[in-house]
Amino acid sequence: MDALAQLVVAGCMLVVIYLAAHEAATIKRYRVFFRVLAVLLGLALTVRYILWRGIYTLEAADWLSLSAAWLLFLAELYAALTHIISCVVNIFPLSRPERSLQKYAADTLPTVDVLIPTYNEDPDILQVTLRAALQMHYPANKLQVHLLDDGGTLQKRQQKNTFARHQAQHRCQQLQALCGSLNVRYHTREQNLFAKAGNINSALANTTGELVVILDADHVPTSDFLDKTVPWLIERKKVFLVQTPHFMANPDPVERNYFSAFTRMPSENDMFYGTIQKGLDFWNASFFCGSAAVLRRAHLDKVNGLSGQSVTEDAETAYDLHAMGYESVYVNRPMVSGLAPETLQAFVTQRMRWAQGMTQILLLKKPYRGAGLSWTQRFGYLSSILFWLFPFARIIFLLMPLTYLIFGLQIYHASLLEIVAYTIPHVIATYQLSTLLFGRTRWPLVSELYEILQCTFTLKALVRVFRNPNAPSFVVTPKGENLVQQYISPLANIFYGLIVLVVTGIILGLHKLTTEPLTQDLTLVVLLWNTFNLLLLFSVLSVLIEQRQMREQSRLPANDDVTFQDDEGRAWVGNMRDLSLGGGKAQIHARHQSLPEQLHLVSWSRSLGRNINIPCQILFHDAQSGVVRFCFLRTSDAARNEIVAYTMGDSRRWKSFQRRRTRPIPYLYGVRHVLRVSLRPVFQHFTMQLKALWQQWNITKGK
Amino acid sequence: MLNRVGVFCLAMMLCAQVHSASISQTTLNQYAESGDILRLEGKRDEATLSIPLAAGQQVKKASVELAVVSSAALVKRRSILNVRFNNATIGQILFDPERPQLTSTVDIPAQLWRHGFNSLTFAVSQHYANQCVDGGAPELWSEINLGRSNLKVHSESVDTPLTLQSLSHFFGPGIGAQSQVTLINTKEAAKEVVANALPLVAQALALRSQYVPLQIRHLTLSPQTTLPVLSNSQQWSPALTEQYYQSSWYIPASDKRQLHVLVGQKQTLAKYLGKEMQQKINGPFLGIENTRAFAAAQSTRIPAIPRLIVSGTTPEEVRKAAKTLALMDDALNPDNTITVTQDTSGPATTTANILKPDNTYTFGQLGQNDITFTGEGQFEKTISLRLPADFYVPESASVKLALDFAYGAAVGPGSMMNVMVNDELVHGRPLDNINGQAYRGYQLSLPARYLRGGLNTINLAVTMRAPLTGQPCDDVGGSHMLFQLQNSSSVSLPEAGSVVSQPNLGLFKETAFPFARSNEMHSSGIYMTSDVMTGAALTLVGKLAQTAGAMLPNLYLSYDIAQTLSGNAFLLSTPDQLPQDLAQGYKASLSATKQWPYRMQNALHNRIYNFTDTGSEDIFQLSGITKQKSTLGEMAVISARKNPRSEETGSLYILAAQTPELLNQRVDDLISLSLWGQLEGDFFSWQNASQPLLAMQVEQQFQLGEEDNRLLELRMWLSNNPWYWLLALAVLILLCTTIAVVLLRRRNQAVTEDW
Repeated sequence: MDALAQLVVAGCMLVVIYLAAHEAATIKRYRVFFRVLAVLLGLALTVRYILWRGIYTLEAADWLSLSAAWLLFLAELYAALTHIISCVVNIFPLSRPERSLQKYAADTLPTVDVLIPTYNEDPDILQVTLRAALQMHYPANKLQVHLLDDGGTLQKRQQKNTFARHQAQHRCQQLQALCGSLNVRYHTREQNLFAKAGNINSALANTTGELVVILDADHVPTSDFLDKTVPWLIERKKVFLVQTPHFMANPDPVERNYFSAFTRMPSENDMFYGTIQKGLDFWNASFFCGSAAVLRRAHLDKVNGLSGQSVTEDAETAYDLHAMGYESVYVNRPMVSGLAPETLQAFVTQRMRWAQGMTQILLLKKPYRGAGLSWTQRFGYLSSILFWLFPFARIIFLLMPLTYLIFGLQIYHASLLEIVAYTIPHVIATYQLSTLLFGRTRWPLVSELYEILQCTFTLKALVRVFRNPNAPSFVVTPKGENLVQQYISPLANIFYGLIVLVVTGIILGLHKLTTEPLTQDLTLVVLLWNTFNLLLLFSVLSVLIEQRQMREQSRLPANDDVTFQDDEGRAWVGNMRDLSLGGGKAQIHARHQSLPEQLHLVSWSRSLGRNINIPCQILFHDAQSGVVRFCFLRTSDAARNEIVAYTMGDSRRWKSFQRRRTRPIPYLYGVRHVLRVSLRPVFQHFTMQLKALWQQWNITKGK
Repeated sequence: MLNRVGVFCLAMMLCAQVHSASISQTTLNQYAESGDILRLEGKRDEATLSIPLAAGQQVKKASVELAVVSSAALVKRRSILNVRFNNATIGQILFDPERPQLTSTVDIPAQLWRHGFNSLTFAVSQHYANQCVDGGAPELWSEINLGRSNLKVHSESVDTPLTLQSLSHFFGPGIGAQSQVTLINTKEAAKEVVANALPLVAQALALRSQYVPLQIRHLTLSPQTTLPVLSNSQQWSPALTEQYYQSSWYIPASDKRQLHVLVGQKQTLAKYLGKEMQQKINGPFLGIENTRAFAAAQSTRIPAIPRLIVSGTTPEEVRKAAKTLALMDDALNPDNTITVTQDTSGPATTTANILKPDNTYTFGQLGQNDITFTGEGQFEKTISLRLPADFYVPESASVKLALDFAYGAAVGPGSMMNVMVNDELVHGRPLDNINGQAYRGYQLSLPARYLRGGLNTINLAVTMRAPLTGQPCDDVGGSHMLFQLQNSSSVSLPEAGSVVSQPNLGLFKETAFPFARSNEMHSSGIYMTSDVMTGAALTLVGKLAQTAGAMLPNLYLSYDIAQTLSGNAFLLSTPDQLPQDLAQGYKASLSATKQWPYRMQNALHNRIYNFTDTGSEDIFQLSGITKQKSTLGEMAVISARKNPRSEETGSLYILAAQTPELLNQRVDDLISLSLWGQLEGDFFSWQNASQPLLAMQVEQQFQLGEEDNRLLELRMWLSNNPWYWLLALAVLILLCTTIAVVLLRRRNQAVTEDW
C-alpha cells in the first residue's frame, strides 16, 4: 500500500483508538472490550511502523550513516518492544477486594516476625518505624519485631579506623538500648556479607515466625498493615508474597524541584504501584520490592532465604519462587510510608542500583527463557527488566538528531509523506495507549523527564554490569538528608554539555534548512525532534536546582477534626490542614482568640481506636483567620507513641493523598505545562552560576 | 487497382529521366530543442545545432540564411557572430547598433559536410565598451530567430554499388534520406506474408530511420495487370513484356528516386524478378538490386530504381527473412543478397535496450562516454534510462546514483553542478574548492517514484564561472576550467513489479506499451476494416517499433474483426464500419451515431487534460452524454478502453477517420514528432500534424500487471482501494479483540474464583 493510502488507514485507526479509549473510560460494561480494541489497534500501528522501518528505511550512503541509522533503529526497536510488552502486561489491572483478619480467631493466626534491616540510618528514623511496627493490629503473642543492625556488626565494631569503630560501637549500644526500651529484638552478625539479603537471611536463621514482614528502616507501617495483608496468605497456601505499595511521605527530587509538584502530580512511584503492579498481579507476576511486604517463611526456606546474586535481591527472590510455581498477591493500599531520596545524587544512586540489579537478573537468570514461568510471567519480568535499559535508547534519541544536523549523517531514509504516514501515527498511537493504560498515574512527558535525568549516569552503571554481571555491589540509598539552602546539583555539568550540543544542532539545522533546499523536509523533521529534546533538557535544568527544604518532615494534607485544650480546660475546636511527624497546621473555628504557648492536641486516632492527647507548642497563630501552626512535644514515650499512631498509623490518610494526585490530564495540557516550566530554569542556572563565580572571584581576590 | 496501375504507368513512361539530386530547405528550428529563438548572452557565448546528412548523399551546394537581432548597446566591430561548420569558421557577421535586425546568408562549403551529424555553431563575442566590459551585463545579448532562418542543401545520391550494406543509406534522420517507403506484395501472396512479414519489414525500415517518422505505403500487385499502350506503333513482344514486368512500373512517378520493397514467396514474385535473382531464392532471402529499366523506342520510359526483395520459398521463410532484416546490422553485409541458413534465436523479446529493475548499470553500459566540460559557461548532458513501461515500485523504494566526477582547480564563485531526474531537481552541489576536487562513488539516493515507466532522463547541468581577481577590469579567462564525469558512474535500480494503469496514451507514446512489453510474449493484432488502410497500419507498426526502440515480433495485421481480438489490439476503422458492440458501453463512441460525454463537450478549451488533477472544473460540469448523427469530417480520433472482445485483460485502441484515405493521411500526421509527443489520456483527436484538437481521459482506468504475481496484484489493488484494506484490518482486529477479551475474562474468572 502506498504512503497516502497508509496515511488514510492510519488516520482512521487513530480515530477508532481515540473513540475506543473514550468508551473504555465511560462504558463500564464493555470497558475491557474497548480497552483491548484500542490496544490492539495501537499495537498494529507500532508493528506496522517497525516493519516499515526495518524493511524500507535502513539504507545509507556510507558506513557511518548506516551505523547511525541502525543504532537509531535498534533504539526504536527496543522502545517498541517494551511498549508492546507493557501493553500486554497492563491490559487488565487487577483490583483486589479488601480482606480483614476480623473473621479469624486470634489463636488460628500465623506468627509474624517483622524484620527491619538497618545499616546507617539515624536512630530517630528507626524509632518511628519500630514504634509503628509495634502498633500494628495483631495478637501480641504472635507478633515479634526485630531490628537487624548491619551497622553494628562485629566486623564494623572491630574495624581499624578508630573513628568509624567508635561510631559503630556507639550505634550498637544506642540501638540495643532503644530495642530494650521498646521490647524489640536486636540482631547483628559477625560480618557484613551479601548486604541487605545477607542481613535478613542471618536473622531468618534466628527467628521462627511463619510469616515474615520486611520493612526498610524508614518504612513506617500503618496499624492495619497485617490486617489487610495476612488474610491473603491464610487463604491461599501457594501464596509466598503479599506486596503493598511504597507510599513516599516526602517528594523525590523531581517532584520537589520541578515546580513543587509533590501534592499535584503523580510520581514515577505512583505509576509503578498504582498501575504496573496491578497489571503484573493479574498475570501472577507482581514481585517483591524489598519492603512493605509479607512473605511466607516456608517458601523462603525453599530458596534458602533471600537471593543474593544480584543487588536487587527482592525481585530475584520473587523470580525464583514464581519459577517454582508459587503465587504472589499485590494489595493496592498504601500502608507503608517511606522516605524518597532527598537529593538528586541519592536519587540517582538508588536508580543506578535498581537498573544494575534488574540487568543482573536479565543476564544471570535469563527470564526470556524463564524455566518454570508462564509466558505471561516472563513478559511481566521482561517488562520490568527491559525498562531499565532505557538509558541506551534515551541517549540515542538525544544524540541521533545531532549526527544529522552537525555531521550530516543520513539517519532516516524516508520522505516527508512517509514520515507523516508511518512515524506520526505510531507516535500518536503510543501516546494514546500510554494515556489509556497509565493516564491516571503518568503525566505526558514526565516519564521522559525522569529518563533524561537518569540516563547518562545509569548508562555507565549498566555498561559496568554488561562487562561483568557479578561486579555491582549493594549501595545503600542515603535518606533523611536535609537541604538547608538552594543550590545547583553537582550533576548539572553533563546536562550543560548536552544543551550546548543540542543548541549547536539547532543553529546548524536552521542553517541547513535555509541553505539546503533539497533536504528541507528531513531537516525540518529532525530540527523539530531536536527542539523537543532541548525543551526536555531545559525542564531537567529545573530539576537540577535543589530547592531548600524548610522542614525535616514533609507535611501532607489532612482534614481531621481537632480540639486544642489548655491546662485550664479551655478548648478550641477546629480542623487539621496538614500534618507531619513534627507538627502540623490547623484552623480553629473561633476567631480573635489568644492561645497559650503550649496546648494539648485532642483528636480521634483510628489506628489506636481512641482519642489521642498530645502536648504541642504553638509556633504561629493568626487570630484573624484562626490558622494555627504547631509542633509536637515529645515529652514521654506515650506521647511519642501517640504521635506515630496519629500521624503515621492511618492508611486512609495515605490513600486519600494518593487519590488526590493521581488524575489524568490532557496531552496538550502536559506539553503546555512543560513548555511553561522550561525557560525559567535556564535563567536561574545562568544567574546562580554567575553568582557562584562572582563569590569565587571575591574569595580569590580576598586571599 | 489494376486500372489505376495502368494509368500510373502510362504517365510514368511520359515523364523525363529521373534525377538523383535533391534540394532540401528546412528551417533551423527543426534542429534545435529550445524552440524558435536562440539567445546568446554575455561577453562570449556559443550554441551548436546538429545537422544530420544521410549516408548515401553528397552535398553539392549549401547555404544558411540567418535572421539575427542584436542588442543596440553592442559596440561596432568588436561584436561579432561567428558561424562555424564542423569547427571551421564559414562566416563572420558584424553586429551594428544602428542596424540591430539583419538577415545574412552564409555559404557552407560542400567539402565540409560529412555523413552523420554535422555541427553548426554560432559563437558570439559581444562588447558594450572597448574595455572593462562586465561579462554579466544585461545589454550583452543577441538572438537568432531559428524559425526564420533557413538551411538550403543541394545534394545528390552517391553512385555506389548497391549492396545490403548500403541499405541504411536510404533511411535515417539525415538530409536526403527517405521519409516514405512503399511495401509491395502480390495478390497471390499467402495471408501469413501480409499478416506477419509485412509488419516486420515495416519495423525493420522504421528502425533504420531512427527517430524520424517513416510513412509506409502499401501496394498489391495483380497478375492480370494490363500493359500500357506503346507509342509510335510499337508492339509488345515477349521480351519487351518481360522487361516491363521486371521494371518498377508499379511505382508512382513521384517516388521514382526511392527504394521500395517487394515482399512475398518466390513463386508469387517470379514474374517481377530477373532469372538470376529468382535462382538465388532458395530459403529466407534478402536482396537488393536496381530494377530493370524499361526502354522502348530508344528511350528509357521507366528508369532503374533500387529495390529490396524480402522473399523465401514458403511464408515462414519470408517471415524469417523479414525478421533478419529487422535484426541485422547492415555494415556486416557487403553482398547484395543473403540467404538465411539458420536462425537459432529463441522467442524474441523487446528487452534489448530496456533496463532491468534490481540491476546496476554504469553510464558506460548505457552507451555513454566520459563527459567533459571545459571553459566558462553553462553545460548540460542528458543520460537516458529506458525502463519497462510497467515499471512499478513501492513508495519507499529508492534509486541510487553513484557519480564519479571531478573538477579542476581555480573555478570561480557561482560554479555548480545540478542533477535532475526527469526535469526534477534532485541534487545540487557547489563547485567551490579552489583546488579542485575529485569524487568517486558520490552517492545520491532518490525516491524511485522520480522514475516512471518508459524513457527517463538524468540531466547533469554544470555551470562554471571564472574566478574573480577583485581588481576592476582584470578578468580571468575561464578556458582553464574543467569538469569531468566518468562513465564508470552508475545507477542502481530497485526491485520492481510489472503493473501499470491502462489505458494511457501518454505511456503509449513513450514506450509503445502495451504492444511492446518486456516480460510477456502475447501477440497483438492491428485490425483493419479495409485493405486500403494497410499502409496506415504498417506506418503505425513502424512507429511502435521506433518508440519501443526495438523490433516487436508479435505484431500482426488482420482484416478479420468478426472474431475475438487479441488481448491488446489496435483497430483501424471508419465510423460506418465500426462494429456496434465496440461502441456500446463506452462513454465516447465513434460509430455512425456519435456519443460524446458532456465533460468532453465542455472541456474543449482544455487541450491537454491532466486527469490526475480534476481541480475545480467538476463543479461546473454536467454529467451525461450527447448522441448525434454526424461525420468525423477531417478529424481522426484514437480512443482507448479495456478490451471487451478478449478473454485476456488488455486494451483496445480504436483509430477512426471518416474514410480510409483520410485515415491514411491522419496516421501520417499522427506519427509526426510534433503530434505523437502530445498523445495523452485515452481519447485523442486531431486533424493536422501540428496540434491535437482534444486529449482527455474519459474511461475508468484499470490495472494491467504480472499475472502470476498475486501478491503484487493485491498490493496494487489495496493501494488503490485503501477502504478494503481498512475493512479487512477492522475484521481482523475485531476478531483478535474478541478472542483476547474471552481469554482475559477466563483468566480473571480463574484469579477471582476464590475471592
